[in-house]
Amino acid sequence: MAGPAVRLAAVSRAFGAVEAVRHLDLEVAEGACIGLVGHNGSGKSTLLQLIAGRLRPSSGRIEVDGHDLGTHAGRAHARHAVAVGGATGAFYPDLTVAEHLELVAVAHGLGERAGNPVVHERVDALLTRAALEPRRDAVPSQLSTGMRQKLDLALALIRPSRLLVLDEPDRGLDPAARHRLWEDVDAYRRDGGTVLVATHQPEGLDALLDEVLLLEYGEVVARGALAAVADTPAGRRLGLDR
Amino acid sequence: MSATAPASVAHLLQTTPRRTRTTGEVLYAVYLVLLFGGLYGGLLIHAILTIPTPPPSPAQLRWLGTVLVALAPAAALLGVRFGRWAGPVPVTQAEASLLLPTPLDRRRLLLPRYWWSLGLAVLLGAALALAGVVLLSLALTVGPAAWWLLPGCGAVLGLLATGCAGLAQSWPATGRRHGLVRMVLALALGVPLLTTATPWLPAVPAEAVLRSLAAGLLDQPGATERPIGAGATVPLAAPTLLVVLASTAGVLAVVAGDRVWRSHDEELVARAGVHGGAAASLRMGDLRAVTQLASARVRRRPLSSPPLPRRSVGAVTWRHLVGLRAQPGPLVRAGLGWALATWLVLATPDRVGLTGIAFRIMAACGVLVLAVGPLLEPLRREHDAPLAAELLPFGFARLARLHLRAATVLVTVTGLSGVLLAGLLLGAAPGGSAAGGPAPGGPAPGAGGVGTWVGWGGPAPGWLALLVPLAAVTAVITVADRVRQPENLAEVVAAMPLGATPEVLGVALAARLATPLFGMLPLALPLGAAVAATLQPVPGAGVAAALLPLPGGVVVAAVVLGVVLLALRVGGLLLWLSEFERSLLDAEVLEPSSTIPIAWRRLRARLHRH
Repeated sequence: MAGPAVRLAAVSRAFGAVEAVRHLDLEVAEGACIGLVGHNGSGKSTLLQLIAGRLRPSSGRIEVDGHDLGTHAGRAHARHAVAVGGATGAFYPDLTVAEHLELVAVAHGLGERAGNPVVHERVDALLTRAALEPRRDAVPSQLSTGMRQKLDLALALIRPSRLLVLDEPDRGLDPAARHRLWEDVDAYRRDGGTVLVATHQPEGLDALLDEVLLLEYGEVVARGALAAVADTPAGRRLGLDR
Repeated sequence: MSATAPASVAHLLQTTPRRTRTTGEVLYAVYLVLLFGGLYGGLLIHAILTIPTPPPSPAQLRWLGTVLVALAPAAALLGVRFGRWAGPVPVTQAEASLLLPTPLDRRRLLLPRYWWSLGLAVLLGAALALAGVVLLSLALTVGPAAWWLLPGCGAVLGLLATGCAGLAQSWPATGRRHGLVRMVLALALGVPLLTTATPWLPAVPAEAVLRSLAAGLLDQPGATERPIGAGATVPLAAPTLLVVLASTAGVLAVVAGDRVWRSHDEELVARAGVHGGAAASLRMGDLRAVTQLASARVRRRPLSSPPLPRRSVGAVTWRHLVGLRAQPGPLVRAGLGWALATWLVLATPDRVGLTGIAFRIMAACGVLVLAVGPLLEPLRREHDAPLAAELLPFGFARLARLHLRAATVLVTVTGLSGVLLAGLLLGAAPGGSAAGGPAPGGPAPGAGGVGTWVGWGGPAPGWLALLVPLAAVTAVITVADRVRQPENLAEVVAAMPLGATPEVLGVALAARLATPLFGMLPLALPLGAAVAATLQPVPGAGVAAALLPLPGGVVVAAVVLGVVLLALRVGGLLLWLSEFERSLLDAEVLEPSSTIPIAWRRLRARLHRH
């Protein structure tokens, strides 16, 4: 792909009187791993939802792999290409953990039907990786918050995608799970995927994140390597220097 | 672009056993079906049994035509409102998160739901209109045309409303920006009302439409002597208008269907929470929950927002008054409501033949609830949405005080609804009359039962006799139900025990509170009748006669139904409570000792050990 994986041109998004994202211009190269940091309400989640095609920008243009998300075809492409994790937490109350994974895999064309060996193998691998194997037959109401988060991430990873959008994926995870999460993200990137991840705990991710964007009130006020961003006034206000 | 066949996904979803459905939920569903089925079925049967005789004169039936004229824009308006709030294509949060972002064929995923909604609305409209024809046929001779024209009107109205809802759901704007559409619809609704209500305005267009509609058939000279809607008396304009309206609504529906599946995720996702919340609320309660959810959406308040902290009445009132300037929706609704009231009170008696202060009071009360309610609702919600921290510790008096205002509102609304319902129920009884006395040529006071005395035509003591016991019973039930049931507390303090947002949970809770009120309504009617009979003994008849305006079999059936409902309610709640607590404990939301039944079981085990 010649162009950038994601391109935003003068994108704004307002919720009533509140402008969550303001005139944002951004280009994310293919295969990059970009971190988004900022205070609560700084616009990180809105930006990720816009890129995933789940929110419509109030103004501006968003392209994923060169496809304009303002068009029906562009959004269809985004559904193929963009995987979202960490933000939703909405599950079917009647489906088990394993069935959720099978459902998403089948819906993305991994197999014709649930029980397909390919799907089965992929589900087993992810359940083991996410330490959810002992709860594979549990329904969501029987899962703790951290387990739900793991399931959400597994759902994002089981489907084929070119762009992975993660909204605070490390929230509620134990240290071991958090370590595995970043390993998985790194593996995804090494396979050629592009990653956009919002987090409140970027510490220790210097090697993973190619670039960090610091948002304040919907605007990018600092960008660059994690250490450089942490050293800016905005980074200090956020406490990245500690 | 390849798309996975949704059949395999649907297969996976359909073949999954519903292991989270408990016996309590099934019982509760049966309870709801019996409650509402029994209530409305009983009303219908009672209305059929006590259809007024002699039949209404053609002049009295003319108002049906006016209503039908107003119903077309009203259906469109309601459809738009429904579409802005939820829409005819239900999408759950899980589907929004897991299935919508997939390359599944969206047309195959969403369109069947739209067609189902459309078909359901058409069938429902036709069925309701058919019920009207059945009722008419008991009093009048109904010709073949009326049997298809009126249901046709109902079906077309359902088609029109759903089509408008589909268009609104797929509309890209998320705010209330359709001023032009709303204005056109309001004009379409208001002009016929004005032209029929005010004799000095040219009423020719409205009269022309009025007479061309199906109900206009009933206005033919000598309609009570000869078949209504018989071939010879059918004006050509009636079926023509129906065909034109059906064609327009059909085109609208098809266009809406094409737009819905192409709509942006945001439109569908924004409504997913509403659909999920409404479904959960409907499972547990009644339509009041849906109304409150609608109110939340109308004010653009996100469903995930936590309950606001309590603050002074003055501050909240002032803030909402200031907010009305930016979002004047409640004011507009109140204005429309009062316009409707004016029309009802000033114009309808002349057209319908209903006179008497009771009718005007009823109209005023109805409008008060409908129009002023939205103005007060934000205040009530803000003051009755306490923070979870405020509910701890679980002091009975503190909780009762916190929720007394909610109870008061519920009681008032329910009481007024009860009076209206009782008026409809009893006013239709033999001897009942909207004019405050016996119908012309009807039986003498007392001969027809208590309907004469406590119906909508009765004197003020009759009204009070119904309102006071209803208010007392519902107040006790409401507060007791709110405070005494542990699952209410658990539900509030738990973060998201049912996967729902706090606001949805609050709405669901209110729904569960309102349900017993409706259940108490039929039980309170005999009580009100007894009080009325005591206050004003029926001449020539005893209290027993006053208490039994209905056939004995109906009374026995009502009592049996009431007992069954009560048993189901209690059994269902107990079972649901057990399952609910287990899920909370599994999710580590509650400590094992924090709920009453758990504590009781522990105590029982300890006693058993000793």
